[in-house]
Amino acid sequence: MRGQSVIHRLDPRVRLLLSVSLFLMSLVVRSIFMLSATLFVIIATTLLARTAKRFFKSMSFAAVLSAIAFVFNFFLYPEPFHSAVILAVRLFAIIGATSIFFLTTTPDELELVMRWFRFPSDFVMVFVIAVRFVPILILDALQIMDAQRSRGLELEKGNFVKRLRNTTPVIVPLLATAVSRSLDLAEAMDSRAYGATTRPTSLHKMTMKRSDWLTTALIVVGILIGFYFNSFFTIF
Amino acid sequence: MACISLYSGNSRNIIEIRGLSFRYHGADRDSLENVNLEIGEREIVVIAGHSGSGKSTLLRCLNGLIPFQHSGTYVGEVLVAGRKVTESRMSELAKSVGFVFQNPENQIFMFSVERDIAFGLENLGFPREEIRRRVDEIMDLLGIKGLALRAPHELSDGQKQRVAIAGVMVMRPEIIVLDEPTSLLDPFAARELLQLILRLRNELGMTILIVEHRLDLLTRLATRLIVMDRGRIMFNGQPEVILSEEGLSNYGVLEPTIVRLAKQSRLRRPDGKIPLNVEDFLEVSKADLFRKNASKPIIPFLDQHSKNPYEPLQEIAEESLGRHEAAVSFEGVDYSRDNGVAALIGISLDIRKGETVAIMGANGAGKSTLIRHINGLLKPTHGKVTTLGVETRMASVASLSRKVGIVFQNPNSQLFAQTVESEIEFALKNFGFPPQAIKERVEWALDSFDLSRYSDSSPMELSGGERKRLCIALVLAWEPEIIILDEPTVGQDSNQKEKLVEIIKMLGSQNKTVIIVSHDVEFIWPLQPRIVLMSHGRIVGDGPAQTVLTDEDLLNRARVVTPQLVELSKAIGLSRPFPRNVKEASVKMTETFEKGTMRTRTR
Repeated sequence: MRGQSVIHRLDPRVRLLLSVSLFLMSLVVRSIFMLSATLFVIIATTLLARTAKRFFKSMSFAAVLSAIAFVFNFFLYPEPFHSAVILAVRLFAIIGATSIFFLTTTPDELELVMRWFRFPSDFVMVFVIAVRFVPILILDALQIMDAQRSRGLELEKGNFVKRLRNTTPVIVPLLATAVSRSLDLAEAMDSRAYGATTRPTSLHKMTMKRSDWLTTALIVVGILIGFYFNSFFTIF
Repeated sequence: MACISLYSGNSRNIIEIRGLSFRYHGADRDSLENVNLEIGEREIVVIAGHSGSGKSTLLRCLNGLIPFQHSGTYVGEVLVAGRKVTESRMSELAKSVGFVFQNPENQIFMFSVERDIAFGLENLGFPREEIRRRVDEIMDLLGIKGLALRAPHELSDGQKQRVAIAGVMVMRPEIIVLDEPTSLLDPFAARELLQLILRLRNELGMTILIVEHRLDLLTRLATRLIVMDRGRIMFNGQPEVILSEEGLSNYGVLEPTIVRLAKQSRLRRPDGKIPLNVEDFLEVSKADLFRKNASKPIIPFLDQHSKNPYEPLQEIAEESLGRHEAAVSFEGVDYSRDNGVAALIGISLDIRKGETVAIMGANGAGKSTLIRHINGLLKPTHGKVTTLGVETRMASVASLSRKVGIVFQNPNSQLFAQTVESEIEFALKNFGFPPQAIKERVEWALDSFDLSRYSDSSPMELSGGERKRLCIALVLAWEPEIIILDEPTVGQDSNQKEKLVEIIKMLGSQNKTVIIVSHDVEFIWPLQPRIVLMSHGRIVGDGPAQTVLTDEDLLNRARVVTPQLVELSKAIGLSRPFPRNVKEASVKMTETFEKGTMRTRTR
C-alpha cells in the first residue's frame, strides 16, 4: 500500500480533511449538477492518486448498493424521478469520498492520525494489532485447512449445511491459535512498558509542509465555493 | 575454549530470590516451590528441565508478569537490581529486565521494524530524538539496519528474533531474560542467534538468563547451569560440574553428545572436569589421560555392561527394499507460489516403499513445500508427482491422504474435537471406515500411545508432548502406507525424543515408508536414514547419512549444522564409517588409539 502520487505525499491529516470535505459535500448538495460536480472531483482525485484500478474494484460493491437504493426509491416514490437518481449517486459519492482516504493511507499513518486525535491508547492498539495480525491469521487458517484436508476433510463438497458444519475443524483451531497469539502479545506488550504513560511519544511524526498548507487552503476555498453555489442550484 | 566461570562471589548479586513459591490461580499444585537463587552481574545462566518444571514461571517472576499479569498465590521475595518486584510497577521493571519470548511472530506489533523497536521507548515517553538515536544504535549493533522500514511479515524467523531482541535491548536493561528463544528456529539460525547474544553481552555487560533445551549450543557460553524439576531447583552450578552428574536425562535434560560420550568413556579434561565440546575433547586426547590409561586394561573405555556396542538402530526389513517399488516419485518438479516466488526448482526424487528418508535443510529450504506435494495439497507448476502409482494431479487430497499420513508440526493447528476419542475418529469417518473398524482402530491408537485415560477428555487438557503423541496416534489409526513426520522434534524434551525414535523404528519394521522432515541433526544422525538435503528449493544432496551428513562444506552451504559425532570423529582422526552413537564412538576411539592413529591437536 505504498503508492506514489500527489495525494499520497500529502500529510495524512490533509487527506483526511479532503475526504471529509467531499463526504460532507456529497451529503449537503441538493441538485444533480452539484452532485455531479462533487462526484467529478472525487473521481479526479482518485485519478490523481493513481489508485483508479483499486478504487473501481472496491466501488463495485458501492455501485451495487447504489443500484439497490435506486430501485427501492424509484418504486416507492416514483415522483419526482430525479430524487431516486440523486439518492443513488449520493450514496455512491459518500462511499467514494471515504475510500479516497483509506486507499491512500497506510496503517502506519492511520495510527499516527488516531493518536493525534487523542484516541485512547487501547483503541489504537486494537486497530494496529488487528491490521498486523489479520494476514497472519489468514495464513494460520490456510495451514489448518491443509492439516484437516490431510485427514480426509473435504471442504468443497456437500450442500450448504454440510459445508458449514465442515468449517468447525477449521474454526476451532483457528480461534485457539488466535487466542494463544493474543495471550502472547499481552505478555510482550506489558513487558515493554505498555501503558506506562497515557501519552506515549512517537518515533515517526507528521509534519505539514508548504504544499500541505496550500492544499488545505484550496480545500477550504473549495468548500466555501461549494456552499455558495449550493444555495443557487436547488433543483437542477 | 573452556568456559570461564564468573561466579557471583566477586560481583554484586543482581538477582536475589528468597523462598519463592507460586501457584497459578486455579492450579492444583505449585509451579514454583521454595526457590532460592542468587545471580551475579554479567552471568550467563542457562535453565534446563522438562516442560512443566517451572522454568518459564521462574522467568516471569523476574519482570513482573508474575504477579501483575498472571494471578495466583505468591510467597517469598524476588529482588531485581536492588528492587523488590512486588513493590515495583511493570513499566519500571521493563527498564531493568528485558524479556524475549519464544515465538518470534507474537512479539512484534507495529507495521515497521524500526517502529516496533521503538515501542518500549515510546511507552516510556522518551523524546523523539533520543528514541531515534537509540533505535539506530541498536539496529547497527544487531546488524539489522537494512530492515528498518520492512514489515514484520517480510522477515525470516531469525530476523524476527533479532528485532525482538532489539526491541528489548533498546531500553538498556541490565538483565535480559530469554524463554526458549531458539526453539522455533533451525539449528544454524539458533547458533547464530546465541552467538549474537553472547557478543552483545560481552560488549554491553548484561546479565543473561536463558531457558533452553538445546544445551549443545550453549555449553560453551554459559557460566552457570540450573536444572529444575517440578518447581524446584535440583542443580545449580558450573556447567562442567553439573553435566558430570548422572541421571540428568531423568530431569528432561538433553545432554550434548560430547558429554554423553565422555561419560561413556570415562574421559575427563586435564583439570578433571567433563569436556563440553569438540575443542575440550581435543584437550582430553592431547593430555596424558590417554597415555596414562594405556597401561591400564582397555575396559575403562567401554561401558562394562554393554554387550553389543553396535546395537542396530534401524530395523529396515532389508529384503523388502529389494523390491524397488516406488512409493513416491518426483519428476522434474517446479513449484511457484501465487506471488511468483519459486519454492521448488527442478526436483527429481524417488523414494522406495519401506525406506526411511530424512529430508533436511534450513527453514525455508522447501522441505514443507515438498511434502505437501506428496498428498496432493500442492500440485506442481511443472513436472509430475506420483504417489503409490497415482499421479497427484489426477487425485483428490482426500483420496491420497488415505494412503499418505502427514503428522504436522503444530498439534494446535489440528486438534478441535470435544474428546480425544472423537479426534481420532474424525479421519476414520472421513475415510469411510465402517463403525466396527473405527471402534477397533480408536482403541488400538489409544492403547499404543498410552492415551486411554484421556479418551473422554478434551484434547486441550493434554500437555504439549501428549498432544504431539495424539497427532501421531490419530494418523497411524488409519494405517497409511506412507507416513510423513513434519519436524517431529521441535519443542520436545529428551524423553519425548526418545519415544519418537521408538515409533520411527517400529514403523520401519512394519515396512512402512517413513519420511521425516527435520532440521535436528543430532536426532537424525543416530538413525542413519537416507538423507535428502535441500537448499533454496533445490535438492543439493541425496545419499546415506555417512555421505551427506559428513560433507561439512555441503552442510555449511545448506545452512545445516554438522552432527557432533561427525565433527569429533574428524577432529580426532577416527576412520569411516563414523560412529552412529555414543557407544560406537567409545569403541572406535579405543581402536583408533590402539592403532596409534588418534589425532591430538594443539590449540
